[in-house]
Amino acid sequence: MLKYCFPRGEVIVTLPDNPPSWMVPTVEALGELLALPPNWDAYGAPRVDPAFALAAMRLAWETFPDNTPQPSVVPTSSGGLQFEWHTRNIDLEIEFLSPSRLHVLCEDLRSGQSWESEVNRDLKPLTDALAVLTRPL
Amino acid sequence: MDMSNYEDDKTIQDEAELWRRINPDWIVPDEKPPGLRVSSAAFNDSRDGTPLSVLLAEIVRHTGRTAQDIIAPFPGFSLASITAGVARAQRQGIARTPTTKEPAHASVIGPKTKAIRQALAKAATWVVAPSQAA
Repeated sequence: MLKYCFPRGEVIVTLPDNPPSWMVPTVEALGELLALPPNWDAYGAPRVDPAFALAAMRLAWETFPDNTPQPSVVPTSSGGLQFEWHTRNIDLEIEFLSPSRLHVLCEDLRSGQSWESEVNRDLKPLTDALAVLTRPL
Repeated sequence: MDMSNYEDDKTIQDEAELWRRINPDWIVPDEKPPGLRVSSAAFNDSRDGTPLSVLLAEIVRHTGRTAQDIIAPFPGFSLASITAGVARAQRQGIARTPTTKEPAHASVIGPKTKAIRQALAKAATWVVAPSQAA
């Protein structure tokens, strides 16, 4: 069990037995973002909204294949966050515009193809992008 | 800040360096050399719509300061640079927006789609690299 505090509460995460390798570092990184103070970016950014961190944890649990490389977990100046990967010839970014709205940008460096899409209920663009990221090399 | 009256300032040459402070959380691994890159998150407007803040390197130097002086108040921060030409190639304008505290302050104005932010991040070079940051 992992526990992260923020000004108005705390987030407690219970991990499954034998979690995939990406899970613990990702959850820890999300928890660390909750500790960022106001103006963490030197340009007046607010704290990261805990609702975004929770949404990100849920999304990762529901959509990341077990062999997903560990993402970078990056705060944004609007108080949100994004997952990003620059590996396996893929640049993939999943930005949380709100806890339920995502913006996905995927660039396949081998084919030169890129696309971006806003995602809310239909997660297929996201799962398609993750499938490209985790494809056999 | 009301930016509706600001336009691209042509007196800022395409070669002009635009400096941006980079929080350590905005530096991410990249399998391509040199192994680290700036996240696209570093090149967005503020939540209230204030355009991307940068510093005109020429003005910084003219005021007798160095790159290290710019990040000294922010331990652990690095300093990245893009040129005005790179920003304009991404359909951005650059306006001089000096403040009483910062004569070198400028704003990068224009819609910042995710693709544009990523292009700016990919084009960024280090002025003070992460390994050199305090």
